[in-house]
Order: sequence, then C-alpha cells, then structure tokens
Amino acid sequence: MKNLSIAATNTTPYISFDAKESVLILQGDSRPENVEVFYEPIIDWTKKFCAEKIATASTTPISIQIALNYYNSSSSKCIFDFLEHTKVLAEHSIAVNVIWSYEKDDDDMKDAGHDLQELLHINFTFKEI
Amino acid sequence: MSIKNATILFHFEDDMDFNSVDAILRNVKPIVEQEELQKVVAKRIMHVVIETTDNLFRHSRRFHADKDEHKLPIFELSKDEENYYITVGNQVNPKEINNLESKIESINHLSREDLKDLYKHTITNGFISERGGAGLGFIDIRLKSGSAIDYSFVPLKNGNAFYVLNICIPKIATKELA
Repeated sequence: MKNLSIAATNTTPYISFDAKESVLILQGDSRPENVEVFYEPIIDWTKKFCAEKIATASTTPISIQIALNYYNSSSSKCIFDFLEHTKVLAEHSIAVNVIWSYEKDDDDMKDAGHDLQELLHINFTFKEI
Repeated sequence: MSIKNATILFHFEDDMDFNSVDAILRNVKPIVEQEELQKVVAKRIMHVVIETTDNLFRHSRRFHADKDEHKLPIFELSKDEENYYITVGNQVNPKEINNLESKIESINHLSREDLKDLYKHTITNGFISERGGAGLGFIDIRLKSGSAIDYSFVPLKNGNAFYVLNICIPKIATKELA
C-alpha cells in the first residue's frame, strides 16, 4: 500500500501516513476552504489501511501522532471521523495509540484530546511540547 | 456595531472570500501576540477569530453582488480593560432568523456540562453541511469564550437582515460560563 503525504499549507496540516511503519502523522493548522475535499482522501486511505491490516493479520501497533495548532470546528469533525475509522482495529486486537501533542499551557488543546479519547475509547498519550 | 468604550484593534469591512479570511488572520495574529496574554487566552481569541471568519466566508458568499453601504460583511477585534471582543456581521435571508435565534438562545442557556454533551453528540452523530459547517461552531465559540453569544438582526432596505454576533473573551482565563 502506498504512503500518503500531503505538504502543509497555511490552511491545511502536514500529512505523513506510512503504511509499512503504521505511523500516521497529522500536524499544523486545519481550516481548509473545503473540509470534505481535504479530508476525503485521508479518510479513504485510513479505511483501506485498516482493511489491509486486518486482511494480512498484521500485529504492528498503529501510532497516530497529532499535533494541531489552530483548527476550525468542521476540521474537528473530520479528525473525529478519521480516528473513528481506526476503531475497527481494536476488534482484531491491533493496538492503536494516539499521541496527542499540545503546547505548554494550552489547556483547551489538551481538553480537546481528552474529549476525543472519551468519545472514541482509543488509547491516547498526552505530550506537552 | 462596535462595542461601547472599547478600543478597536482591527477592523475589516469588505466582500469575504477565502483570501479575505487569510488577510484577516495574517493581520490579527501579530496584534494578539503583542498583547502579551496568557497562552490559553491568546489561543481562545485566535480560535474564535478562525471560527467566526470561517462562518462569514461560508455564509456571506451569496450576497456578493450587493455592495450598498453598511451591507458588506464586517469583522472587528476590540478590547476594553477586562475583555476582548470579536464582532462579525453579514447579511442573511430573513427566513433564517428564527432558526439562528433559537440555536443561539438554546446554546446560551446551557450549562458547561450540557454544552459539552451537545458537542459530543454533534461530533459523533452530525455531518458536514452543504455550506461546509459541522454544526459545532456556536457550541465551540460559547465554550471557548465562556460568554453568552450576543447577537442582533437589523432589517435592511433590500429585504435582507444584517446579522451581527458579538463574542466577548475575558482577559483572564476561566472555565466558568458567564
């Protein structure tokens, strides 16, 4: 499966999804002009990636590294949807760990990660940067 | 339109396209950084700026052709001794007033816990609308600002209404809702 790489812009985050290493990185700002157009290929890739992991009985844990600076509320919906698609892996005993980075003293960003963790029941590790 | 006795830090009044959103953010960010605020307050201001300009862009495109005075979309950042204020305004069809009013009123009257529950319900069960919103904007603004969303609708001669939102963000960070 091909990796997915999208360069960052001032309105869209850096995306580096490495299928072989099972490392998915999303970082930067997210307020695309058209949120669905931007996130559709990301969600499609994730669905295929998860299906392939299950089909090949892969046991490599997934590391999802999210470091957001500013994002609009429609992006938060898309990030939720993206993460939700990885929940299927837990049913097949494939570990998913989200590393949620936030700047020191940015309590709102830390809380946003906790909210997602509570909603999605995925393992989150919080990292102050 | 402006907040009484507040100092205007930035004012924009023109047609809104995606480049205008960028221009506003490019101008406002260094102003906010210069204010030497707690990080969480500076980020809340920028978060509300992003959310409100995003809304302006998505909801004012239909009215581009109408360039009469006082009808162009506006964005303003101002402050007084205790608060920062973000004021945005754009034309809406009067048919949208009831829906907007009831949405804002219901959000203004919810407790923090109920707002968090509504946020969680909407992000889980909602979808992206035709105009590109996720139905989370008002909830997010109310949670981030901690203040009730102040709004007004002024009838215009062209039959539309001018819809103004005032968001107040306290200079001292709090998690309590005002």
